[in-house]
Amino acid sequence: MIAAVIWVLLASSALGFWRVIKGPTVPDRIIAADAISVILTTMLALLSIAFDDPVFADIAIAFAVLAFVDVLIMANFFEHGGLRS
Amino acid sequence: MTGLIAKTAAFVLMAAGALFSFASVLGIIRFPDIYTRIHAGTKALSGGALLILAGASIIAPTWQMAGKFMLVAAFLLATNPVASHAIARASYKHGFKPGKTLIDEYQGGGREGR
Repeated sequence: MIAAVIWVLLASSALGFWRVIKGPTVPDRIIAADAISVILTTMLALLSIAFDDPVFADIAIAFAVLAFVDVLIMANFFEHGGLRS
Repeated sequence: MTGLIAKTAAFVLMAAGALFSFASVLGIIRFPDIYTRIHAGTKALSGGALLILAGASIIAPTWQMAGKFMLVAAFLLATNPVASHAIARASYKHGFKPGKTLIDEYQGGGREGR
């Protein structure tokens, strides 16, 4: 049953990757990458139950933090057109 | 008996969350504008992630894993609106206008925009 939920999430992230490739503007790609990162975080939480291994939960926490900082940096870079603080 | 009830509730929550995530990605693909895509992507996706993490924390084998899932859920609930607001502000400052809008109240930073 957990495997079915993981397969649905995997199909969703594959559909989102189509928008990353095709997206006409830059914020489309950023939004699609953010969606894929959130789906991947929940998928890591489900994998930690499926494999009965608490390492995946720690990786989910670290990945959530990294994805948030990543999206903020990309938005700041896109707004200013360069690296400004 | 309580184990069966907990397992049923957890799987109902996880199925609803998976449906939310799939509908959100479908909205990201099908919506015509960048701002509507931001709306579909962030709002529905954070709801789906919260539902899935709630179901996962119900059927987690140990208390530590349930606590970690709740930590991830609280972090997503706090940071996902911040990220979407940053992207929307950046795309407006870059010059993308929302299509088919009648009043742009953010233009010029106040009332003279209408």
